[in-house]
Amino acid sequence: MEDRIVTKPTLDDLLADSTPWVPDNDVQLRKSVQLLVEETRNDKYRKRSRRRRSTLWLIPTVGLGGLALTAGALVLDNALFPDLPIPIEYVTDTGVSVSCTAQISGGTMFIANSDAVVKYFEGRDLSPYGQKIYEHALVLTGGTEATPDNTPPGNQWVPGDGNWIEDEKFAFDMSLVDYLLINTQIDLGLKGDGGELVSDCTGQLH
Amino acid sequence: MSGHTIAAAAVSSPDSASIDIPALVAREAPALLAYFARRVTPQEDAADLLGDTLVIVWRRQSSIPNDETHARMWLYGVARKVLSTHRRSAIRRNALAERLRLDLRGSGIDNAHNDSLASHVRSLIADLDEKDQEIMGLVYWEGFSLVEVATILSMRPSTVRSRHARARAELRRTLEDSGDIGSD
Repeated sequence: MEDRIVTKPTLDDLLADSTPWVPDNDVQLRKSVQLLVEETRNDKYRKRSRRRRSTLWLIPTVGLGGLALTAGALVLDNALFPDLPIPIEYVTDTGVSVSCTAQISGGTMFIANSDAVVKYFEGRDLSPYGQKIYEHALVLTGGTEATPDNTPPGNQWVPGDGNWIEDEKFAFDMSLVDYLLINTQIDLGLKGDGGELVSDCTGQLH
Repeated sequence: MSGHTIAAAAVSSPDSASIDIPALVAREAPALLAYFARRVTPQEDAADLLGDTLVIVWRRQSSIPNDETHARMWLYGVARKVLSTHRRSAIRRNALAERLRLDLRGSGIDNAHNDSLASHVRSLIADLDEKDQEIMGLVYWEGFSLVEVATILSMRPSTVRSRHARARAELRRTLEDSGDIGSD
């Protein structure tokens, strides 16, 4: 009787052989993959309406009540609407609850229309703002698809084609501007040279 | 302390003219499908994840590094984020991927049930720390080097090396104890 030498597999062999799923040579599958490559490349997903902002929007990234330097002017401890700290509350996609605030702090269009602005915010339910701002920030980073639900109604500018915003804090700031300044400007028909926000939000997205 | 100008939102885009991106994506798409199919249940969900990945890749193609090796790492970095999002939320069905879902059903060689030793090794890998699981999968299932894995996971190569060595030693110890591999 012939002796057989049984060689045990090496660790590397075992690890490589543990691959859960190995594609076979299914021609139809490969064809479907290539069709998907072409369709995603050419289809409607790439259509984006864009609007360039011509107005300079500033968010001094300091805590509320802090010292902010904007466009060469000092804004000291006097948010424009001290009675209107807007609560920004949201839950991230990892389940983290975040709570912070934002406040309109300046900009001629808001200063000149302060009564209307205060009335505008006082008459609104501000509780959904935080989650909406968060969802739109995710869109700006390319993390989720833009839909009417996660895009501010007055603003259709979404970066794309390589211009996704990689800095999450920056994306969050932009979303704050979209929802709190640009929407307000559009809704109230404000004219002027931009606006300013102060916020203690860190822009946590995950 | 100074503010920053929100209007200046442009992200720098490397020159990607030197590689043929459509050809690269077409070449890598089957491997990306396999990457997803190895990690999701049901396997057909891999079709949707590939669709989502491709949509992002085409949108961001000017960000793709201009050499093939790094471009490939970049693709897997996107795929990893798509997979991570998928695991956190219910999948959004991608209509474009519907045909591929059908083709994927029953396709490929599913090792999940046909080899008890392979299944045992997979369960040991599944017991590792989540990051170590990613490292082992990318090395042994996708064939990446440790340096490449570090790029995909945005980790330092030295960290990936040490985590890989530690995970490997743990697996070796267990498999030697069970007599599945020989001692060195």
